[in-house]
Amino acid sequence: MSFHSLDFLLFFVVITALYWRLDHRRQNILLLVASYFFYGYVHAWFLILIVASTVVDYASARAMTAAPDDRRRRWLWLSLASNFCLLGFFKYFDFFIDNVSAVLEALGLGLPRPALAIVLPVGISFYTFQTLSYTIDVYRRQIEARRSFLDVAVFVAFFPQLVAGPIERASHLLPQVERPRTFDAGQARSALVLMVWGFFLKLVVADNAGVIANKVFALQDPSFAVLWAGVFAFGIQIYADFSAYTDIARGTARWLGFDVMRNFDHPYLAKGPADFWRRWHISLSTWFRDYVYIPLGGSRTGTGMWARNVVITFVVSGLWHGASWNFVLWGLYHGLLLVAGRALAPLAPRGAIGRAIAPVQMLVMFALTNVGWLIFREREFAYLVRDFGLSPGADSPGDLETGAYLFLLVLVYSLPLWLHALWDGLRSRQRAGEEASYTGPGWLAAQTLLCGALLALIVVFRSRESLSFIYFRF
Amino acid sequence: MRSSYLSYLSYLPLPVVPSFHYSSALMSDSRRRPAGFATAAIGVVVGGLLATPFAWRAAYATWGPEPAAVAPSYLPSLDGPRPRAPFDPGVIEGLERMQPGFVIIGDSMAGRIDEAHLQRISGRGVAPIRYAASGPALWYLVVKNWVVPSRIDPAWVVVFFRDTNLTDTLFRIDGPAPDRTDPMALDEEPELDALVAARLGGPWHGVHTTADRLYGIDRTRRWLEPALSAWAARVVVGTRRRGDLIRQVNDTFALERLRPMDEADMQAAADRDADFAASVASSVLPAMLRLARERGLRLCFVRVLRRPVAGRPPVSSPALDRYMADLGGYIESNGGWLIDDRDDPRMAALAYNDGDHVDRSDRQRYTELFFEAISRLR
Repeated sequence: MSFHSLDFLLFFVVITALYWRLDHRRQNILLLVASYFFYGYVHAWFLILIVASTVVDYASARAMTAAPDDRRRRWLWLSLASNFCLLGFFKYFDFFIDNVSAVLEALGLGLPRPALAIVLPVGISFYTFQTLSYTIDVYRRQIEARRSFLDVAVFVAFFPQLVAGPIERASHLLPQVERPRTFDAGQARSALVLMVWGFFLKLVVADNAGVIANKVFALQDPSFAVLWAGVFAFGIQIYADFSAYTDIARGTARWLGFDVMRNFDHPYLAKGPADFWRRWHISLSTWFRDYVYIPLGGSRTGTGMWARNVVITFVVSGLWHGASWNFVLWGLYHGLLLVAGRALAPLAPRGAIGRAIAPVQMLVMFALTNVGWLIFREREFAYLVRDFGLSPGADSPGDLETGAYLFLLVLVYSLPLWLHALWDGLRSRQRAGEEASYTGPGWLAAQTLLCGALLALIVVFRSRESLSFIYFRF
Repeated sequence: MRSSYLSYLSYLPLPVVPSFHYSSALMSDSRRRPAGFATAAIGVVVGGLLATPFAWRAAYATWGPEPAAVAPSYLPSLDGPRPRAPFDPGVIEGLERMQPGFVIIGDSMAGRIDEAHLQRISGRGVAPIRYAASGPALWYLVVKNWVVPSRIDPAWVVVFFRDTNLTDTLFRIDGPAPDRTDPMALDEEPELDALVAARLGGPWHGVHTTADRLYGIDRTRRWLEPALSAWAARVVVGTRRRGDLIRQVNDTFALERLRPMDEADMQAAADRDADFAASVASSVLPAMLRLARERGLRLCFVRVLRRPVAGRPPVSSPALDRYMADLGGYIESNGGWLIDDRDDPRMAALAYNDGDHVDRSDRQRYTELFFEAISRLR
């Protein structure tokens, strides 16, 4: 079920209405049933996978607790192997076969290629990582294995963030599942604002920018100006789309009495690569930091090894996004950017000069991010090489005008996003990194007007073409 | 928390936001005020949420186009009153003057026929009635209101379609240009409206139409969308050249400038609609076949395919194969004919511009293959 459907709105209203009439245990039962219904709404067989993953990880964690120290690792391996096999088969099998076939063909050993056409179950990359964090943390003795299968199952399948994150950690979400929850009207109000903002981002900003990006990336021979207007459109689309999902997820969870972590902190205000990754897809970044980068040795092994660890982590993170070489390249690009960013960091001016050139740093980082989005969006290597070979000097005045026109349209559609980033970003800075809070009677009037204005904009300026959430395909 | 976070940051240059970000927004004012206030506040926000879009009605009444230009829609289940172009009887007169042997109907897919060449090899006149980006509702109206009433006796009335488009009643009818079907529509089109209503009649259609009528959404969209495009064009090139720029943008994204399409995407799209039994009753196909039978017209449907790689059609799913078999059986049992381009391997040798449209250089060849196929039909 997709958030931007009326089916979801009805589902949510019914679930919420029932939910707050139940005691804690029944609330959790309802959450599990609702989550499975939500997930199996289109393809019921997807449920087999998530249930299997939950059962294995629940059992592994329980067995780990009971096992002597020298046997704990076996249960961790069982959990890792089962989840990675699941992910490997459904997400990477076709990619693997294609590449093996290509290599064999290049060696003159062409063999018939099995055509399995495997359907990728939505959200599999998200919930496998979420449930893995549970078993790994139990193995590390950072959390206790839970006795209640129901609680673990709700943690794995919690519908607001099941399909596209944020990827929650057991130590954050599980205690909330276990703790009794009571309705808080103040939370519900802020949840409503978050949800309406999320719908606006998706239906107006992301989908309108996405239509332009799709058109540009469907062109056989775009000009330089048109291509980069399309890349800009895609940069807006992917951020608005993904952060919309996160906002709706967080709003939905908040209605149900849960606090789901932030996934974005105005990433296009980042002043450098490290800053960008502190702000973009935070739940995945921190997952890779804790479960890949640090086990590799992190930064405690010298500069060379640190650079290696960063690049490996980002390449794996790129591959997580999809079974395609362009994602690997995208990860490599960002890994190298981080290494370069650290190398250049001592040269960065500090104090008043540093503050004065911050906007320039933001613009440079935004441009570098968009180069990354071109790699991310362009699946075929030949087109990518062509794209990087384009020159503004070869554009006709008509091309430049068309590019400027598309750029302006995207800018207009994304204006609320930029204003929000500047406003909220500045308020957040004042609060030392905390999320800005809007409470009190003054804010009530402002929120009321804001929600109304957003809905008014949604009904009239929503895209004619409704696009799927981009991260559904990861 | 903050200081440890910063020291961690200097230690690890990788993503280093605290994993568990407890939001201060959760510290809501309900913890400081009575519960009644907080609950009422939700009502205020919801009320404001639902009331504000009414402002569009006032905006439209103040700055929108003149209401006198608005006429009731012939498809009331799809849209409300709107400005509409009149019915065009000129096409009927044109057909009668020409007395064509072939009437070719369709969207750009029908552009693969070279009319002059078909006329040469068949010895009969050819009347193309092609509308780019049109769909089955428009083709039905063409047959019903132009071809059937005209005093012509063509050898064939041919309708080109792709894959499952023929039974997808809403295909290209619910887009941003509802006036596309105006020239071939009468003041009332109850049969088509019933079919559209059957397609739209899902549980949420009522919500959409109610919201539209309450807030005046459709008319506001038709007013503001072009205004936004025109404004952006004006900013870039000035008022005088803004029309040129819009045309230039449309040319940039013309079909012949697109890449060959992605095979997998097309397959997924085709599969989604490939259920003939579920779609035929609410499609225009039965009505088109009935009209042709009653009028004694030989109605032939030509199914064309996308050919993304080297002229080859994409791998056909079992669902689409079943659909085509059912479609063929239905058309034949109701007095029509079907030509499926997939059946002719020679089609793969033609040049396809964007994996979709036959290149100009091969249109004569396609026309010959088409004429050969239709000449075999009895």
